[in-house]
Parts: sequence; structure tokens; C-alpha cells
Amino acid sequence: MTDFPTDGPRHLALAATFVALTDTLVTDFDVNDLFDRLVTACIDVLDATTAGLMLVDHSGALQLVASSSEAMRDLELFEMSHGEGPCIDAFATGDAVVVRLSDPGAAQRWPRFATEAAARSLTSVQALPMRLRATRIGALNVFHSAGRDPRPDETRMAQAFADVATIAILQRRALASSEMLAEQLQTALNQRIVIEQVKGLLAERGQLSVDAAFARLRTFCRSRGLPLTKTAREIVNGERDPDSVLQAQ
Amino acid sequence: MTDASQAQPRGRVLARIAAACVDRLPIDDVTVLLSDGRQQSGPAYATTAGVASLEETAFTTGDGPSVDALRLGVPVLVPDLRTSARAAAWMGWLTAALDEQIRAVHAFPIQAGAITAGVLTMYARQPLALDDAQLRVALRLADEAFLGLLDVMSGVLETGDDDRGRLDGAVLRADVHRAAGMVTVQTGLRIDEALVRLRAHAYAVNRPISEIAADVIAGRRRFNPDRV
Repeated sequence: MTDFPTDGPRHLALAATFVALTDTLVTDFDVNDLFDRLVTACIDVLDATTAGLMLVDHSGALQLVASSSEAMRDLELFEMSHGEGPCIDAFATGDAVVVRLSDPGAAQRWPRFATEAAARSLTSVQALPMRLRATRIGALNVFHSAGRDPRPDETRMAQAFADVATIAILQRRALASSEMLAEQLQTALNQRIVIEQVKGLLAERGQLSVDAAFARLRTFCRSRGLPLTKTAREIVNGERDPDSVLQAQ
Repeated sequence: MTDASQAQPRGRVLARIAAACVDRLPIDDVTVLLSDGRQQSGPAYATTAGVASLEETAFTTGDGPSVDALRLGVPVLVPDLRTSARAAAWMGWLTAALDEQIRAVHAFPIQAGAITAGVLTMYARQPLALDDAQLRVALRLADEAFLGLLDVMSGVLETGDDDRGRLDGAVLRADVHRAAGMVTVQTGLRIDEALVRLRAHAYAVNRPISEIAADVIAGRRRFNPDRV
């Protein structure tokens, strides 16, 4: 950890990120809020172009649970539907994958994925496994573009973000031994569906892009200190007026 | 997600799920409690009269593993009723369960995001801690129950034990839920009704629901408030 920046604005941004991430763990833990903060931190702190998070479901398949943009979502869905890519490798092996996409090895390893990523002007990828000892639960994908390759200390920071997410998801396991991994992952994945439901609702209601609709919800929740998932559920169930969220500045 | 005219096909779906639970997991009995999204609509299926009355007790008193699973939206796992602090809080239910020789109970919400269709509850006469692999089987069966109930609600009636219509994939994709959210706005339907509408349309036009969802998200297909 000694290579982490110890002064300057980036140090402050990093400190703020960990404060925000740990805050999400202490009271009224909301897994969607944590995921959203995590992928946002990859952009803000690590200067990434885009980032996404995948968790394994009870069929053993990876599911995208958070992405910093719809473009990222498309790329990660491509990775999953074709069964090739850095996130899948990081999950399968439990080791971090850090690759410059222009390297010949990248095209050999993931021919279709490398083409798709290049088409989005992405130049490098870091895929960090989410694991606790022998148990692997998913992976964090961080992409950079325009010759801005991540430095080794940034890879360690990204791994630290992935570790925080892992601990957050599994924390109840430590508190109540009868609660198990599959159940906790399932709960996280199901809460993710609420976010998909509310994204569709808000985008249609406000005639907005999905990214813009979600940004309104995030702003609404953060400025009022409301948990993301519970608020989303209230909107989807007709217990909260979607227009109040859409009008939020 | 309930309607009297759907009782028969629903019974067949739930019987198939319950048989799969008993077949694939070391459990003895199964019940299904259904919810219409606003309030519990009551016990809908049970493998024996004994667990049926247990579920009636839970439903009436508002106490018990299935009621908790429904309210909290997370699985409720009790490997041994005699030593569980949680079970001790279900006063009347616990006494009735022990009288029925039940020692372990595991209750799984039948849900997708904000939609809770019901609870699938499994009972064992011996203490039973599900391991991770067994838990994954149970969660898949709860997903299958969701899809089966969705088929029933959509009028996609099962004709045989294993006929699942054309519903693709074990679990509905994120896109389908996003599209359902959009359809609530287009139609004024609740989220569960919107999903049913998507499923019914997919069946009617003989296309995968994922394709219909993609059309909705791209704005190529809108649903109207009045059912045609």
C-alpha cells in the first residue's frame, strides 16, 4: 500500500472513495449503492474510461451487476455472451488480468472481444477478481482509452476496490454463519433487478436515456440520503412518485 | 399474481416444482405461499395436509419462515428448529411444526426484483443444513417456480410435466426487467402485470421474450393501456 499516492488531489479523492465505500457498509447496507459508488470511483479516482462489475449467479454464470455506462454494459454483455474476455478470465483463474489491447497477445487470447473493445476506442483493460480466500464471486473490469495505460499502483487500487465490494457482499456471512454464499449472491443479484426495473420505468416516463434516468435517481437519492434499492423498489411498486425523481436536479 | 381461473394449471406447475424439490434435495415436504404483490393471497400448494395446516397457521398468525421470507425478500434458512433463536420467535408456528415432526425448514422467495410472487418452503424431518451446492439447487427451483407462475399468469398453459412453452433461459435477463419497467409506464399496469403482458405477447407472436424486450427498449414496440 506504500505506493499509493500520499498527497495531492488524488490522495484526497482516494480517501473520500474509501470513506464513502465503508460508509455503505456500516448502516442500512445497500448493495446497489455500493456497486454504483465503486464503478464511479474507477472513473473518478483511477481515470478510467469505463468500468463494470460482474457477479456469479447460482447457475455458475456471470451476471453484470453494475456498469458506469450503457456502452460498458454492451461490451460486458458481449464478453459474457461470447464467453471470452478479461473479466471471464479473472473470474475463472482468480488472478488479475492487466492487458494493453494493442498487444498481439490480446487479440490471440480474445479475438472477438479485442475487436469490440478497439471499436470503442478502449486501449487497455484491468480485470480484478473478487475473491475471499478460495471463493471467487465475480470480477471488476476497468477500461482505459487513448494511450492512458494504468500504472501498477492503480491496478492495486482497483483490486482494493474489488476487495471492498467482496467483503461488503459477504459481510453478513461472517455475522450469521448459517447464511451462505449462494444466498448472499442471490440477494445481491435480485436487488440488481430492481434497478433494471426502475431504469426502464424512469427512462420511459422521462423520455430519457437509461444512463440519464439512472443519473437522476442517483442524484435524488444521494442528495436526500436515501438508499438506492429501497427508493427504486418504492418507485417500481407505485409507492413513490417517479416525477419527483425525474425533476431532481 | 393470482386468479381463480388459473388454479388448475397453477396446481400442475407447483406440483412439478415440489416434486423436483423432493427429488433433488434431502427434504420431505414442500409448500408454496402465493402473494399478489400487495398482500399475501395465501397457501396455494402443499405436499401433505400436515404442512398445509402449518402454512395456514403461518398465514393466519403472520409468524413463520415463509411469512418472514415474503416480508424480507430473502431466503430464511433454519437448519434445526430446536436450536434456532429465530424459530423461537415464531411461537405458535414452532409448536405446530414440531408436532408435525418437522426439524428443519428453508423458505425461498419466488421473486424478481420488486416482484414477489410467493415463497417456496421446504421442510425436513431431520436437522438439515443445506450446503452451497444444495442451496444453488434450491434457488434455481425458486426461479423455476417464478417462471412457471409467470407462464400460468400469461395464459401459457402447461400441457405436460415438462412443457415450459418458449420461455428461454433459466432466469429472465436484465433487459426483460428493464422492458417491463417501461411497459408499466406505457400501460399503467403494475410491474408484475407488465411482465405478464410481455410474456403473453411473446407467446402469442411465437418469439423469445428477450426479443420482445429488445424491441420495447429500442422503441420499436409499445404496449397500450387497453388489452387488445
